[in-house]
Amino acid sequence: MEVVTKTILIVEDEAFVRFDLVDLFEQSGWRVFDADNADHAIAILDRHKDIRVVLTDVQMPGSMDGLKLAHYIRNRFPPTALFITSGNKRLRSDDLPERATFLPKPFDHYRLLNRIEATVN
Amino acid sequence: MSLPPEMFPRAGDGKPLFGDHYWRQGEARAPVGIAANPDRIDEDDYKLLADNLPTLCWIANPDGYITWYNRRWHEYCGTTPVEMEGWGWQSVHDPAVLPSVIDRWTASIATGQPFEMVFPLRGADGTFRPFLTRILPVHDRDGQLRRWIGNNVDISQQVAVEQELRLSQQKLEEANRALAEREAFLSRVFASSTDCIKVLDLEGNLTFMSDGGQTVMEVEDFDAIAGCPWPAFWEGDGNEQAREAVEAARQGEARSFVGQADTMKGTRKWWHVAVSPINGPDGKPDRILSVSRDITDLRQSEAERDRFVRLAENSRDFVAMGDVDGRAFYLNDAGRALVGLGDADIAEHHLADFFAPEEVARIEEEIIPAVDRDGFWSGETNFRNFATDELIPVLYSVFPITDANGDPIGYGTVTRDFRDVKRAEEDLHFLNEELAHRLKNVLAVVQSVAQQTLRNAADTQTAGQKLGARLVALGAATDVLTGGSWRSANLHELARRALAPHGDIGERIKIEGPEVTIKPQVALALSLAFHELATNAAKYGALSGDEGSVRLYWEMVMDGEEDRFELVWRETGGPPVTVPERRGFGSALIERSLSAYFRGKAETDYRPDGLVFTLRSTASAALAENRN
Repeated sequence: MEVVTKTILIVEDEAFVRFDLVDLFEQSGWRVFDADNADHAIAILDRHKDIRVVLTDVQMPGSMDGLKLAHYIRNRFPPTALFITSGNKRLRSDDLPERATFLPKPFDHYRLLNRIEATVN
Repeated sequence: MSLPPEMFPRAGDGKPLFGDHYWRQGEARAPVGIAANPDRIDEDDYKLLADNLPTLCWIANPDGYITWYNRRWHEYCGTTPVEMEGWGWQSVHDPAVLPSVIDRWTASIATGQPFEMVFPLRGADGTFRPFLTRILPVHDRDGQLRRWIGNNVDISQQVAVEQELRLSQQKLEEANRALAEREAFLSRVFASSTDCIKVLDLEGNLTFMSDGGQTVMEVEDFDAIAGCPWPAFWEGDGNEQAREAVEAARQGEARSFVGQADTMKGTRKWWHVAVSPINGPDGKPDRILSVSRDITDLRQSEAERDRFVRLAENSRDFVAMGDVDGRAFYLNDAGRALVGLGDADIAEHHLADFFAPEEVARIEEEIIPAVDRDGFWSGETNFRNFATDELIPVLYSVFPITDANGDPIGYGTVTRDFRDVKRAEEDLHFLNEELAHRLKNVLAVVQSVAQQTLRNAADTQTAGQKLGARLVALGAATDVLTGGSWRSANLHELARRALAPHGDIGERIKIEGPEVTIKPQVALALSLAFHELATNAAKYGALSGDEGSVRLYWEMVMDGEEDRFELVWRETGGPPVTVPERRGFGSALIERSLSAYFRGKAETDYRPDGLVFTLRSTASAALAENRN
């Protein structure tokens, strides 16, 4: 059932970055869902309960930014591992939901991959 | 003038002895036994006469030896004939005067000349009184000197009157001198005063002007203006006020005014004028006093001071002063407007009232100690609006104000409204943050483009070339974005910059379309897409030979509910096109990324006569909002 445990949702409005991350995780054997805004992300999460990892950007268009999405996910899907990224500023840890990891943009995609895989295992 | 009665010489029985009183009231005494016979004068009658003469008299031998004194002598001197005989008279003389009497008397005896002298004789009461003494020689028929007849007349009363006269003359002279001095002093006072002191008659005509006044009024000849109506020297309002002042003085009232008048030489000056009545002996106005003071310099310094007031009043800064206890006593209009005080009375406000509540502690702890120590304090703080309680960021500068002696009057402040500066600072801060964000975003995009290029390249050399060219396209896009402050990008410019490295714009590459600005979010992707399309065209398509050309055009399609944006890349004149068996990463990148960024549809049509790439999206997804 390894395929099922390695499912990730990537929420990122910058398409180049999103495509790159999707390609990276797919090539590493992950099942990848992607969304370019929070509403879309929540819809995917509702349909696919097996998503264990969410990687989200903070700045996004729409009614909900990445940080609100992360809080929402922490409440709605508590076991989910959360990785939050932003190019804007170093967020205060108070702003982050529990058990969330912050990654300032740009980040090393391979280190991110290793870290996420370590978390899941 | 006569001596008071108590000063008359008196004998032991209290009766007056001599002088005027004696003359009038003394009684003649006749020797017993002499029958008064008015028809015959004998020797006894002469003796009676001599004894009763109201003067002292005596007879001396030719050598000066006195042989006889009359009764009056002895009564006055209180002497006896024995004491007085010969030269015995010296005992009733004043020892200080006696030597000169003896000198004169002996001289007369020697020459036989009459003798006249005033000298004192001591009375029976011990008092010396002046006597006019005349001594005449008596000759016989042969001209031989037979006798001296002396006569002493008490002139003490005349002397007293003379003395009194002299004294009163002296007093009169002194009084006159004092009066003259007083007059001279007053005229010196008038002359030295720099005020113009004038006396007018009740009609207001000039009758007198002080010397000092003539100097300040530059009068060379007072006679030339004497009698002229004084109000005529004034112009405009001053003339009317001068007339009113004269009229008021006539009614017994004092007036003052400030006006402008020329001196006699035409120098225009400002004067402060006091006009008051001069009362006559009857207590009614008799003449009019007018005192004018040259206040031209004062007016000038007032005008100068007024300019400083205008400086503070017209300043756009908050300019205020408070006393040493911090109570406000001046605030200019700009200051009132800044803190919403309007026309309110500022006297009830303390320094601290102007500050935001959380800044008040700073005044005591930081600001006032710094002012006392360093002479000023300047820094950013917050005022509050009295009407709305809104915080007002200000650059506050405060310093002590001292008077001319250096003693503190209070505190002054020139405070600048810092709201605009703070807003600009915040804007700048926001822009910086935004720029950092965008920069990191671009780096993230570059990172992703690089990784995908590397991931999909056959070898590192190809990867390097492709990556280099793609980065150039991204660089061109950032140039255009920077030109639009990262808010928008001009599509013509974006296309020109991305396509210029691939062929001559306007010849083999034609760009047509309305002037539109596209969203910054789609500019990078579109620029990269133009680059990929042109690269493929140069490699396989219309730009690969010498003939073909490319037409890039776009338009706004306004039908249905929402405006749409359509962009077409059409190649013609190139080699026949066939659908590729395997799509390259570049082509995939174009369709996939543009569809995502534009939330629309991007597709490639491999028509035999030339490739056609079409991007369709909503206008709102593609175009920047008009930021006018």
